[in-house]
Amino acid sequence: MRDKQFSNIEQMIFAARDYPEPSAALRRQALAKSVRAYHERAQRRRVWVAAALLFGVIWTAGSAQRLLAQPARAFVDRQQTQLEDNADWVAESAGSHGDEWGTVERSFQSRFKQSRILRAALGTPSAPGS
Amino acid sequence: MMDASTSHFSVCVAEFARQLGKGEMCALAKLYDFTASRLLRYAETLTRNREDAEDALQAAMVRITLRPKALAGADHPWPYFLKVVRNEALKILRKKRAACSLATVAPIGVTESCQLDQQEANAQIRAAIRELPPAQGEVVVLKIWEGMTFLEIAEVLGESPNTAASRYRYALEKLTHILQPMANEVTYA
Repeated sequence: MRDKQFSNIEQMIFAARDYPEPSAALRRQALAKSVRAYHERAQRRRVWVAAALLFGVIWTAGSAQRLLAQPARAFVDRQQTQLEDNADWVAESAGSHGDEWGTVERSFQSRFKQSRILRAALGTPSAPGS
Repeated sequence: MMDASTSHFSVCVAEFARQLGKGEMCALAKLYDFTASRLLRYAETLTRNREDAEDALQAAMVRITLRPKALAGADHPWPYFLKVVRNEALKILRKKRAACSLATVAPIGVTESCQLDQQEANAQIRAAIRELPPAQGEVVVLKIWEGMTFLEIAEVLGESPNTAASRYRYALEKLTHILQPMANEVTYA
């Protein structure tokens, strides 16, 4: 009985279904709004794509510049290192030679002094190299 | 109560959705013309208000236009479309009343039944459906007028099929109570 009643109610409800007719204004408005939203989104998308492309181009150009600049910079760095190495070597050489010369000179002067003392002691009038 | 016409309707909606998904904007008008009255009826069940239902329909159309592939790619485009309308209707309700849910929307007052002709009887039945809490009313609309299965209704509502079925059962109990005099007339006429 309950099921039968439910079935009857269901049939009554089904028979009472309506199809409210949307107004022409609503149709016009809904479609216009939708199409406008579609175009606005397409426009926004184009702007984003353009911005992304621009960023990509700038980034690529920057990368390329860095890549191109890298060998030149490396060459300069190598040259500078080489110069610095050379300068150090020259300085070291000069220092070491200077010491040697200094030692030689000191030794020479010391011997020269000794020879003068000897010459004075021996009474020899001749000067060295004469 | 799923019949051939309902199935044909779903197939047509799927076809328009597919066309829309391919970027054919002319399908938008076709889709609107094909579904608007049903969507409006469903939205009105939720909003209890024609203007809000129209707003929900418009918002749903915009949403579908912006994401046509979502509709085209849906397993069941028609329930998906109904779900979009439902979401928009709920959004409007929420805007109108803070923390409003379907359960809290007050039902419309009961109208007196009297001697009715068929048209009046139908109006009475529609009024009785509007008297239901919207959460139950929408299940009745989807089940009986849209011919959907509980599985499809559950998909629209975002609930389990059991919940949809129990809401339907409660709704029919209430409708039986409200429409009992009329049901007796029809049964025993």
